[in-house]
Amino acid sequence: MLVLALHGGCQAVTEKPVDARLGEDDVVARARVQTAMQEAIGVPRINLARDAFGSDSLLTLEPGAFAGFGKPDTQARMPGRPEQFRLQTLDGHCLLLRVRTGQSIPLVDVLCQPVRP
Amino acid sequence: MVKEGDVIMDNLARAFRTGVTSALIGALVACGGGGGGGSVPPAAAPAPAGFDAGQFQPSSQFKNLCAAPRSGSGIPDRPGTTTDENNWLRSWSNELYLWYNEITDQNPRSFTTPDYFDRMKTSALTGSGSARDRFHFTIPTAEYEALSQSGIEAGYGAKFVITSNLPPREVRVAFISAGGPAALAGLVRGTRITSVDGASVADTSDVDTLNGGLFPDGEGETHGFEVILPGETVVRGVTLVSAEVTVDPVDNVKVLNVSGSDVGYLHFNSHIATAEAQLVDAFRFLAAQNIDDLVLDLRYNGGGFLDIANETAFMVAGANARDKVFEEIRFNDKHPVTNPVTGAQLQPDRFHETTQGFSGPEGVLLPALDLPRVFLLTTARTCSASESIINGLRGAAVEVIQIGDTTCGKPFGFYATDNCGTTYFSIQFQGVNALGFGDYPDGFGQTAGAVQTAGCRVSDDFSRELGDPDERLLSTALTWAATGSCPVGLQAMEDPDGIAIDKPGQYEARDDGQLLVEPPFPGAVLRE
Repeated sequence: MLVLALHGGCQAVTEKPVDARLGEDDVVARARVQTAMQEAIGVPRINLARDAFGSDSLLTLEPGAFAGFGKPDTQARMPGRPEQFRLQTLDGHCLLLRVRTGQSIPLVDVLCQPVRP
Repeated sequence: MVKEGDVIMDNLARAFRTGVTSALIGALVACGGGGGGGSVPPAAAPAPAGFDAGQFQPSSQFKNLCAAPRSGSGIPDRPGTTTDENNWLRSWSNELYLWYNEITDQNPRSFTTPDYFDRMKTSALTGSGSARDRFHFTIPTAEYEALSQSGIEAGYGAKFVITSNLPPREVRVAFISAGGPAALAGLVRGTRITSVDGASVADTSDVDTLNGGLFPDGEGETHGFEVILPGETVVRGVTLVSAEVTVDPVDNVKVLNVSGSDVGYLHFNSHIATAEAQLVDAFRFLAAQNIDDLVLDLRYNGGGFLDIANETAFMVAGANARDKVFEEIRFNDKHPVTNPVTGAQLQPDRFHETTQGFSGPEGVLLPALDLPRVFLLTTARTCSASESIINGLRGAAVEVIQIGDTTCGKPFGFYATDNCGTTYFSIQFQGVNALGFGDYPDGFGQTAGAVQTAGCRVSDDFSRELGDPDERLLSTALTWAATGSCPVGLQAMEDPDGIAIDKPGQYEARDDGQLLVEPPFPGAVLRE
């Protein structure tokens, strides 16, 4: 929850971010969100669906699988939880919430639309 | 330039993901703590010289001391030697390896790092004579770090299973996603892949070509295959172009009426995050149908998140599992109280009665069937988290009737840990059920060495679709549900090589007349 100070009347209002999504064909926005997620968790590559965040504001990431002859099984017995991000909007700005830590990452030059409940 | 604080947060972020928090905290302590930019590695701390058998320095003393340190922001490597890397492996294994006291302590100066890691494990055998530790491996960190959106992959919409891992190899289509490239090309369950991009599946020495074609890295890759459809002998040429496909970890949910009883069927093929929501939907449907029995098809489910296994088991057993322990994780005897990796206090995990937030809201009541028994369809690919379902339910006194072949035998787990660009996987914990039982390294089943379960041993039936009441495993389960025993004429025996052979009878018919051999290490199989 963010507290926004209103410049005009020395008042403070409390607003709550709402879940958001990206436009269907907004390739640029999707790439920026992808970069923000990679930087947030410090990994070189995240593979996203073409319509990531297009209909659902919550996105879950998992380690890649290692398939094939002679490849080990890395996913077989996993304690803990996957990494998750939630796309939100607040006051016209797009935010990326890292669910595990509560870190809210402002997304610059990314347009997102509130998800209607 | 990345500030050190950012480096720390990045590393901690990865630590949370891979679960190596304390290891990384140790690494960070070893890195010093103040000043300096991320792109200039701090000077290496002096490492103790010499080898004193049985004496171990803390692994943090050697963490990130690398013979070939990487550079770049967020990279914690510092200049070191191969001996430093081996010393880290030696100390880390002594601290965390489940059977640390069965490792032969050897001089880290005498080996390359890959060789030394290979020696950091037990040589003990299981009751059946297999190596107890078959799950000891490494992956380049750069490969392991790549993450993917859950349920999305580049592929053909086909699950390939390697039914014979060594020459003559065999690869089959286990199931197909409707509308995917494989389905559009006419591939169906049971299709045999005989060549990939000109390389013979059976005997090529070029397994990279096989892997590259069967498991493409990205979209838009074109690969040529030769295939034989079930029931045919003619070899067909097929070209597939990889695409973004959605993996459905739960599919084919239905209710079959057998002798007046309603038997639910559910194919659950991977414990990935998106499975949670799909499982909830499936069990809601089955609960609404008021079914009498459930057949849970885990034959290709190699595991995944343990919490999803826990949820699944609860949705089967419901009131029969309420307030009971599903599983407890145990580390080596140096860590009886605290998880040495996460720092959390060790305590039994009870059956989850609410969603855990993997692919939907957290805390929603799970539907439950309240069944006192369940039929599980299994093969040697049924592994890890899937075996936790079996063990957890047995611990809660839910009757498990196992139809198929013996499971893989993996009650163990690990926290992947990075050092110097390599991610190490070394067994660190074992899961036990409410009865304190977790000793099934030879799997569950009806074979020698396995933990014996009720049920019937039959081999996979690629001649029919999954969920077809005449498919051999499902048919056998339905027969048991109706009669309380295996079908007449069905007995399993073993040939001298331990390969299951169905006796002649109603189950002798195969689409190609060949025996199917499960790979000895099902973990070497498949993309999930």
